[in-house]
Amino acid sequence: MQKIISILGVISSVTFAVAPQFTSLQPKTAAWLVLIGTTVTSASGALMKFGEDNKVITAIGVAVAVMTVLAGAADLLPANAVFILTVAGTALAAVGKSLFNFSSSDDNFPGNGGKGFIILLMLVAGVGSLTACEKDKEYAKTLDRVSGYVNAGIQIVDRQTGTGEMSKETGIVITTSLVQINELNRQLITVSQSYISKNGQRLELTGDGKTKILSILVSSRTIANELVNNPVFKAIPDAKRRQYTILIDDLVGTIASITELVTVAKEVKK
Amino acid sequence: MDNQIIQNPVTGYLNFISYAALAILKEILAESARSGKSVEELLDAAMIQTNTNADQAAALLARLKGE
Repeated sequence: MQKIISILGVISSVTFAVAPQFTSLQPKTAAWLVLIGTTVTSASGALMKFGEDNKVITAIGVAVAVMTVLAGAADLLPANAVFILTVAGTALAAVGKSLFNFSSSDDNFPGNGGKGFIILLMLVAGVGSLTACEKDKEYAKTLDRVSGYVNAGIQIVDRQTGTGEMSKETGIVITTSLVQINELNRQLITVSQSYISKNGQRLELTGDGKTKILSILVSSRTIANELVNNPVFKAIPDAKRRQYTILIDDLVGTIASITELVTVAKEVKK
Repeated sequence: MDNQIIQNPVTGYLNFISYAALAILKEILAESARSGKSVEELLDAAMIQTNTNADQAAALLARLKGE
C-alpha cells in the first residue's frame, strides 16, 4: 500500500508540474497541486520510515520540493525552475524512502534499486523536455485559446438572453466587448502569421513585430478591464456574472501570459 | 429584467458546478487537439475560430438589437 501511495504521489506531482504547459491550469495552482503530490509521496513512506534508512536524502528532497513550490507560488522563481527543482525534490524524496526499495543493503547504485532510479530519471528527463517546448508554439496556442474564450462568451450571452436570464442591453454590452477582443485577436493572428518561419514551426519576430503585438495586447487588456468596470456588467446578479468573471479572468491571464512570452521572445533581424 | 427566473440557490450552485466541469472538460479536449499542431496550423485554427466568432457575434447582436 505504501508503495502504491508513493507511486501515485510521484505521478500526481509530475502530472501537475507539466499541466500548465498543456492546459489552462494556472502555474500557481499547479504548483500547489504539486506540493500536495509531494506531500503524499513523502508522507507515504518517509513519515513511516523516518529514523530508518536514507532519512537525510528524504528530508532534503521533501525540503527542496516544498521550498521550491512555495518560492514558485510567491513568484520568486521562474516557472521552469520551479518545475525542475520540484521534480528533482520529489525524486530525491522518492529515492530516499521505500518507493524503489532502497535500503542500506542495496544502495550500491546501480544495483537492484538502480533500475527504479533510472526509470524515474527517464521520466523526469522526458517530462522536462516537454516543458521546454518552444515559446512560439505556446504563444500560438494562446491566441487559439483566446478565440475559444471569446466563442464561449458569445455562447453564454446567446443562451442567457434567449432564456430571459439576461437583458438585451446587458447582452449587447458584453457582446460588443467580445467583438472588440475578437477583432484585436484577429490583428494579433494576422501580424503573427507574417512572421512564421519557412517550415511553419517557429515565429521569427522582429523588433517591429514585437512592438506591434505588444501594442495590440495593451488594447485587449484595456477592453477586458473596461467590461469588468462597466456599470451594466456590474449590475448582473452575482450568480450569473460568475461565468463571465471566470471567462474574463482567463482572458486577462492569457493576455498577460502572451505579453510575457512576446516580451522575452528573441528578436530576429531581417 | 435580469431576474425573470427565480432559482433555488442550490440549483444555481449545481448549475455552476456543471458548467465549470463541462468548461474544464472542453478545455482539456481543446488542449489535446492543440498539442500536435505546428505554429502555422495553430494560427490558422485560431483565425478560423475568430472568423466564426465574428459571424456568430454579428448574428447575436442583430437578434438582440432587432427584438
